[in-house]
Amino acid sequence: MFQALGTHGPELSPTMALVLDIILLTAAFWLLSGPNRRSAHDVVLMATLVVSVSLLRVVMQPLPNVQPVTAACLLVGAQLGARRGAAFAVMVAMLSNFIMGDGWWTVFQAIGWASVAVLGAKSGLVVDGVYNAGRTALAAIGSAFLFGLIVSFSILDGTFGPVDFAFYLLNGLPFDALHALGNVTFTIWFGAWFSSILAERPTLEALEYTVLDGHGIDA
Amino acid sequence: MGQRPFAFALLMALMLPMLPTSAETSTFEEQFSLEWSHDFGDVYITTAPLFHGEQLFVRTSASWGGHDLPSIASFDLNGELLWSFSNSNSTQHDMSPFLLVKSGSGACGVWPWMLITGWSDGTVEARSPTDGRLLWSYHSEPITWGITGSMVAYEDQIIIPTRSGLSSLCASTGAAQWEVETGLGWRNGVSVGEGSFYLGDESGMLWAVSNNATVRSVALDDGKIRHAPLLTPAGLFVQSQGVRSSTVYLIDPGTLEVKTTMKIGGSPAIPLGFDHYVLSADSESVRLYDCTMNCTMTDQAPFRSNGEIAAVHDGHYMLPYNGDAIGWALLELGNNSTFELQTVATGADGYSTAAPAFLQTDTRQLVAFGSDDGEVFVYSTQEKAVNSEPIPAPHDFNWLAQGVVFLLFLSLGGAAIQLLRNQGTSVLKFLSVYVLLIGLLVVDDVALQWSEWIEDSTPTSENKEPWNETWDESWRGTQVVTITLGGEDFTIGGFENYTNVFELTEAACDELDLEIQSESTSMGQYILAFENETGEGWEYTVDGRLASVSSDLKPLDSSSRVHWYPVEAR
Repeated sequence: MFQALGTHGPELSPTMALVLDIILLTAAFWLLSGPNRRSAHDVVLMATLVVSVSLLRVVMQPLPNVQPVTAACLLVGAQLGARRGAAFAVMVAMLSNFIMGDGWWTVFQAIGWASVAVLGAKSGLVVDGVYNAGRTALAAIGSAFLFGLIVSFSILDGTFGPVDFAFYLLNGLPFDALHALGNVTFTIWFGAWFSSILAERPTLEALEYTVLDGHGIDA
Repeated sequence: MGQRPFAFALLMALMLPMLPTSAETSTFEEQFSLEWSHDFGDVYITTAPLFHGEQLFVRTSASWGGHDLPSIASFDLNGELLWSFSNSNSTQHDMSPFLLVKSGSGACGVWPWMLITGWSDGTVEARSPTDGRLLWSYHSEPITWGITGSMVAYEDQIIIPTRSGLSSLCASTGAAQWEVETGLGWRNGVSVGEGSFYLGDESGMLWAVSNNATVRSVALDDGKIRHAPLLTPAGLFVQSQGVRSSTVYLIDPGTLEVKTTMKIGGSPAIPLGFDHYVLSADSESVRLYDCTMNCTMTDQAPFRSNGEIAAVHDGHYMLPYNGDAIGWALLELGNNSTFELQTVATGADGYSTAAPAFLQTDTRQLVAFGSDDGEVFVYSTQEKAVNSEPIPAPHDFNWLAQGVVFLLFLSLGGAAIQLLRNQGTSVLKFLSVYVLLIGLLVVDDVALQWSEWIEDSTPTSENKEPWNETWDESWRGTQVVTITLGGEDFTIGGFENYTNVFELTEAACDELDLEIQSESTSMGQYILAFENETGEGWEYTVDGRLASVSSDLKPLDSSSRVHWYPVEAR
């Protein structure tokens, strides 16, 4: 609400903030851990992405609700899968808010972007290595409103009734629309490129195995 | 090739939003700097200073508890005192504005340039502006006060509103030509038009006195008429000051019949007429009226001003804020009978009621402000060399605005080129940037309009804010404000006719003697604190429903209940 700009749910004590950070970090590590062993390349790629997208968010902070992180989460989810996409979302939310201001809302932003990453993974934006720009643009629009809805839950502190919350959501629609516009712009310009740098490329070793599997037995 | 005209037309259409960016104006602070000031001591300045030629005239008033005498003084434009005279007999507030009279001649004689001063002890003095020499004086009977309203020169007469009537003095000698009894007046200036002199009194009577001293009158209401009635194309514009609110009357100057009435806020300022407009103010708002046919209010903005208003530089108008140091309102009239209000700090800020004085010379512009603390501040633009090549004004280059315009052109140009190359994807790329930039430029306004639309479209709810049995019964059916401060509820009611929450809250804070701090933002007035308590921010409900727009944009009905509380107390 206009008269409550700058307030996002309850104010956290330092201890509570630390606990939330630990929970978020744990969630990120859990999402990243899995049966497949990650190569050094994967780790470096993920770290580079998290740092650069976080910095991009900080730099673009003056533009209201233009959030390149949303489009990045969508594409990371599409290319690297839901788990790694969600982990990426959580880490970007934590790292960028470390600079821009941490609080109760970080949890909701992390959940919001993680949901966007899952949406990206499940929407078939990349099929058989082929990037679908049209579908990505549509998903980028939808993800803006999805993120806006999830982050809005941070305002609920037990005193907001459903009607008040509905009004709160309605009032935020112009900013959600701008968010969607920013997402579409980002995906139109950088979607294909960003998707290509995320694409899984087989290593030389893997290529050799593939060749041997196909032709070596008979040799 | 048919695409070229289409691309050109598209480009032209999309460029339309960029045109207004070149219409930026500079602020008062950028144009003016403080030239000099003079402290008169323990007195007030309650009426406008006056420029004439190379001189500035200032009059001061006795103050409550102060010991310095009220005086009139003349300075040159560099602040050197040329002459001054005090009046030890004048012990009440002196707020009758200076009257500067041109030299002339008439049936009663010849007179030079004169500076006429009316005093609260009932004296009227005519002095030479050059050296302050007394030319003549006239004494009217004071009843607590003497002369407090504005005088007017008419042919060879000086028409003065005395405490209990109206007098005509010979401009040459100061001898009384006729005197008539009206009602007891205070700050009740006189105006002239349609063959009559018009003035009001403290009982809500409007008087019309013809030049042969014939008197007509009409009772408006039991309010107080504390300004010179304004003759507009639509009729006489008269404000009657009530206890909490006031009424504007539009009156036929010939028959004195009331044509229209309008409710306004309390303690109205002295209205200023120009062209077919009237600019006035009160404890709630500055208001602009179009009096072409039938005075209608065309614009208003929240601001508390109860004194004088004056025209200043570049067709702007200024009026002081009657409260803590918000400063002065600088009004720029726009198209469609609207105005933009910005506030200016001058040093003469806080509880002032005197209008500024303005002078345009060949080389510069000067504005003088009188403060409630008895100090005059003179601001000036930079002196320009005469008969030399004009020096281009320093231009404050707005990199952000220019950068955005550049990007808009770039994105449009890019889109047009790609369209001609049949590169559909690239056209989309450039257009997406263009649309995003436009979105960024308009999102605040769109969000504001959207919120207002939601507010307007929402059916009025039942009054959910419960009636508190401890409240005064007389508040039922009126506007009531509660402010929760430090866990305690401060409530006041009995208000009527406030049209938005901000105005009502200001009036409530006045009554409750609570300090309110607010700032103007692109989305409206934002309340920062009550009694310096900021908390985590302040919210308000109207009839129990949390509001989603700024308080100055939230409309009220006649029985709305407003509740302010800090966010953490939600």
